[in-house]
Amino acid sequence: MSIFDMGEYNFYVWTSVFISSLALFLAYYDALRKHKDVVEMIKNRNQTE
Amino acid sequence: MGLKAIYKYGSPPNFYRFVTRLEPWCLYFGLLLILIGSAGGLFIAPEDYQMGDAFRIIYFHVPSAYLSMSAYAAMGFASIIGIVWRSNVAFSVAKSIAPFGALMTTIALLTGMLWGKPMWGTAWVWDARLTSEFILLLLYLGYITLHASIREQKKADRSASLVAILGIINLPIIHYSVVWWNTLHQASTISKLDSPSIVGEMLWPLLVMITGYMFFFVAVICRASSAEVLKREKRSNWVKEI
Amino acid sequence: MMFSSFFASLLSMQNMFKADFQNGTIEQLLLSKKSFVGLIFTKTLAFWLFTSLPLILVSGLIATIYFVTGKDILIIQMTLFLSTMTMININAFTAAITLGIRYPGALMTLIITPITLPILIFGSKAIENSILGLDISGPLYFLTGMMMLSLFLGPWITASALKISMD
Repeated sequence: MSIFDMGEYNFYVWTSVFISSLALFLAYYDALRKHKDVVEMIKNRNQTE
Repeated sequence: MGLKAIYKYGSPPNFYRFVTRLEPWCLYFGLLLILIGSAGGLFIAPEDYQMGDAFRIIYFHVPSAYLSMSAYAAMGFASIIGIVWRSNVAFSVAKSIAPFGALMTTIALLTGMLWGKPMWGTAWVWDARLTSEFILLLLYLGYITLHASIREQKKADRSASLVAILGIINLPIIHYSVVWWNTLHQASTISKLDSPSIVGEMLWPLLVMITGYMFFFVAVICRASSAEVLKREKRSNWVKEI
Repeated sequence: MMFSSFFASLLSMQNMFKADFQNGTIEQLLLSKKSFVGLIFTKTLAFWLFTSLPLILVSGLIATIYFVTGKDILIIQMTLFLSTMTMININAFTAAITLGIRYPGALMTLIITPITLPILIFGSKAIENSILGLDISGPLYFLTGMMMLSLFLGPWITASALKISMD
């Protein structure tokens, strides 16, 4: 059976892959955004001083 | 590493520098491992004799479950360090772990449900392991909410840490739930003492995935805790030089 | 057939019973408390005396309505006794930790549930087993263990939580 055509299991396996990658992606980009926000805020403060 | 090294990295500027340098390595290495593991698990590993292709979910379910527990252990440990040494850095790390851990727990539960539905006919059952993993999710959420509800920083840290530390007791319950009780969830296939009850070609992608997830976890924590440390120290001198 | 439906309703009633009780305690503990460990212990004990003890006694009566027989009534009361002790300590801790937050209700539930779930599970298992005639020592040991643990650690942890919240 090809991996892309497992019959009824297809949906479940690929959904799992999808949500797992989504979660990993979200986790990292959330951390990245937090970091960017803080750095932005600090730069602004430095400039206004 | 001597105690001195811990003190050295315990100070915010050193921590920040260390963590910022560490992160890219962990990130790329982790992603690489995850890619390799996924390829191995999805394409190379042979079909399971009992479960057909659906078992491939294991390559995503197990790493997230494993990580949900280790992240909580790390969070508890960081909380203890934070309380004992009154370390802002430790509390930052603990606070950063929580959302990631909660996400991992949710994924573990969801992939578990996606596996359970076609495999055993039911998406959920209140057996010992599933229930205790659900409890873990609640613990994470409680931690995050508590931290967010208390306005004063130090108080929030310490109160939330208490919850984190109390919750550590749940970890052995989750781990041994399949040993102590009759559960729908299957018993461990990998243990420290016995040889694994799973064949080589199926095993290596799993190990690679778990390792990849761990490195990725470290990378995310690096980024998140460095942001948190920056935020807490925003008035001090070393921050101005970033 | 009749027996199985009867058992089913009885078992679900037990769970409801416990959940109700748990929420009642939360509201009662939303008072401000300033005490040290010993005082906390006494206070929690006093709370238990006023809230749980009547409940345990009444539960015997209620159980009779559900046709529960003699020995089982005792088991139910014993289980309630053990679990209420534990739950009071847990609720005290949660109240202490959420002191000073407005509308702590939802938060308290969120924190309490994961810690109390095992108690609920073992409690109902004990009652269930007793009614079905199975061995009850397992769940009872666990409940007793949890009770001992929470009796000794509870006041201390609640005191720490209070100190943190009071700063």
